[in-house]
Amino acid sequence: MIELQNVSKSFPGARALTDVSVEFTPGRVHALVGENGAGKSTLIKIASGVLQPDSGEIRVDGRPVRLTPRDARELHIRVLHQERQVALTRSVADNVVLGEAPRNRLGLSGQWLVEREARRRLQRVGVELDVRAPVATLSVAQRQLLELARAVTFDARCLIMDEPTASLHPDEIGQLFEVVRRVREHGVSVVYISHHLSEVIALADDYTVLRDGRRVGGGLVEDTTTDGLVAQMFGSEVSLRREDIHGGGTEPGDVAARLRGVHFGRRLKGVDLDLRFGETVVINGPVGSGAAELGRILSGAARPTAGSVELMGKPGSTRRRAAMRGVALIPADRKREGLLLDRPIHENSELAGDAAHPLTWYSAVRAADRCRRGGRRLGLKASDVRLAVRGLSGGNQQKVLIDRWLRVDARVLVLDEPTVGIDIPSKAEIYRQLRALTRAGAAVVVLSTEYQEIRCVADRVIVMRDGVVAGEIPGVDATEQALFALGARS
Amino acid sequence: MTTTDVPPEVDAATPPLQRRGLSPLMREHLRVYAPLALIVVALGVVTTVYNPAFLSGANIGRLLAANAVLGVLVVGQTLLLVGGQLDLSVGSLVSVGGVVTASFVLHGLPTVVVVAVCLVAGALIGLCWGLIVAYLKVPPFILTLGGLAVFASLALTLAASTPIPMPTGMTWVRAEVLGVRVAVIVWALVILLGALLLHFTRFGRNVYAVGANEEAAFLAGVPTARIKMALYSINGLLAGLAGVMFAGRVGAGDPRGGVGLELTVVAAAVLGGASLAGGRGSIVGGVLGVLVVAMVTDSLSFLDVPDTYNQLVLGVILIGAVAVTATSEIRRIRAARRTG
Repeated sequence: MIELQNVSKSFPGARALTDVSVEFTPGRVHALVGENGAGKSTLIKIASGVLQPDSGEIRVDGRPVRLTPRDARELHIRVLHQERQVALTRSVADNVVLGEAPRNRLGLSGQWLVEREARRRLQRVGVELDVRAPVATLSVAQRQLLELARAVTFDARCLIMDEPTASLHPDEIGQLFEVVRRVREHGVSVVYISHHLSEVIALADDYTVLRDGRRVGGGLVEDTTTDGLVAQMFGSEVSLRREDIHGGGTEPGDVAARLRGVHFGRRLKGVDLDLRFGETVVINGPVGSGAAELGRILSGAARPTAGSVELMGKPGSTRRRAAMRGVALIPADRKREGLLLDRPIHENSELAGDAAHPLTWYSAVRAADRCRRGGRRLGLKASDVRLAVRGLSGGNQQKVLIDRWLRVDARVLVLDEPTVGIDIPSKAEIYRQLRALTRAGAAVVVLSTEYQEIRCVADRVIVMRDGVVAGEIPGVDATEQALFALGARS
Repeated sequence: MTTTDVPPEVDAATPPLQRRGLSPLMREHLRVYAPLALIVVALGVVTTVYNPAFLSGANIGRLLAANAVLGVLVVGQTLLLVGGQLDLSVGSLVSVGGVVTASFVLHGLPTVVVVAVCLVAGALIGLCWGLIVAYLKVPPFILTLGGLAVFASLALTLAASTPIPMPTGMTWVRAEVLGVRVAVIVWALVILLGALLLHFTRFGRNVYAVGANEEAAFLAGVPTARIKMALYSINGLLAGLAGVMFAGRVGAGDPRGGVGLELTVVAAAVLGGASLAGGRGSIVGGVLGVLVVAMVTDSLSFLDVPDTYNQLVLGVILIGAVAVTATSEIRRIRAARRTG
């Protein structure tokens, strides 16, 4: 049992934690929730010995301790960070036993010993991986499971998981949950940090809500709901309920995009789709269902292998031509496919405009001014638009990307998982922006697997399964059960 | 739909999105420029104390004229590097350009035609590189390394391995207008046009975008293939120009004249803050890089240091400069993480 009692911590100019008490019980999953800057990361840094509290104490099994990272390791407190820490070119076995290779009586380690030990450890958490495969060939989810196996087999007493699902797909999340549950049965106390409240509800036993460095709520997960958690996290100001965000819509207008019999390799098998101005269409479906491919075809980033695509009455072609006609694409992987991380914020938000008119003069001063105006409209929080976009939070980075396309008056917006890894107030703001755009006559396509997001923005939901449209539901009726029933039917 | 259709959501607590003073990007540029300028000034002072002839007008003019070829090439290479590209074939292109210039002059072709042929041929070769890089996705390093070998051989073949003298051709390069050599004026014009293109047109922003994140640029609608072709063509054109200028300066078409030049060009551009990873660099930085190279080479000879040490000193400065950039980069990313 690890207890933090009345812990406070200040940094120069900021109070990160005030009088927070929390206990992590063996054999239970404890969720820490709170928006960015609420003090979650300070708390886990204190619990893992990276930071020392200004006041208050840490008890392990009832004994007060002073934790250093080394002590924490000896007490078997492990942290699973957001960033993957694996040796890419080595095998799975080498990574599982990294830093503590088993030795025989002569103090020697051999490939055979390493592989046997790795297999034993993977088995314990129920992860099936080929121990000889190089890590580079694994998927992100498999790497995460590998790390989990590594952390657990250090005979962890406490396992702290910081946003473990941030880069996983829904079916991979299920696999991760299975492993976490198994770990819990081994008597490990798991601390789980996530922005996805539905995950918290599905996985955790206990929860603690932090707001502005204070504990503002907590208890048993079975006694609360996602809406209840949102209310505790933000008071009454932020809501992720359809009634508060959707705000109705107008009659859909002209056809913005028309897909007929679209095939894409084996990923899409004959999809028909009409997208009209003045509506938000959510395309829902897990990885492999063809939802992501559909988004890329709609935006011209991929060309169908058969079938026709019409954008605003003209045949669709390359990504550039589509962009010139006002088709925005906001990819799911913001950092790799969306942003110029080391360039200033204003250059990032001007990129679509710069691309459309390369043969015009450029003024950094005027570009920054335009960016400030656009940023204020979207509630962008940045100290200076001339700083690199890398330093912004995920929510603010996404606002920059949306601003990029509003700047060129994009009329068709394709957004792939637009709020992955984004804090809840920013989510609510982005949803409201999307609704405002729809009401103003834009055609919006959201590729989403997040139920709450679908509820908030959809006018209609198209469910994809195995490369075909499995069915369509009006946004109002898109309950989790209805979506699941449609997607799972075979 | 216009952007005003979106309801304003101005939050009183939202920070102003602006800090006073110099832009962070400009500050970063100054961090690159300041040490270079310091090296140039310090070398100038030290060498002049030792040998007063160094900082005389005549010597400065000679120094600039001697490095105009390098300077022109660095402008093109900086553009390429910012766009995440690279062209190692420029050394051989200068040799070929020189040889072609000399033999055309000897055949009695008028200057204008010779210059035009060299520029157009250079641009076309560049366009070829651009096409191959953009559509066949061949890595620029390998491609232009191959080009370097091919054109080095071509220059030697065309000139039958010996320099072609043309004592009366292309003398305009050595001529002076208002006390300034024409070569230096040409270099200045190239700098001016290059800076306008990279820093004051939206084309320039597209170049930075392609270098910083090609995938993101492509998805935002940047014509990445055309940008690359444009960059290689511009660089090829400048290489052709440099070939003419080189032949004019030495008064001959030397088939070995450009050997090793490509490495000095890349070194100068990287000294000036361009990154081989792309998305970083500036024309002013490239010019400062050339000046450092020029000053080091020249002042060492004025200080009676054997010229076998030239490469050693330049190498050390280059390593130092790149190390400084790398450490400030690491610090910047850490700072961004803290604030983010």
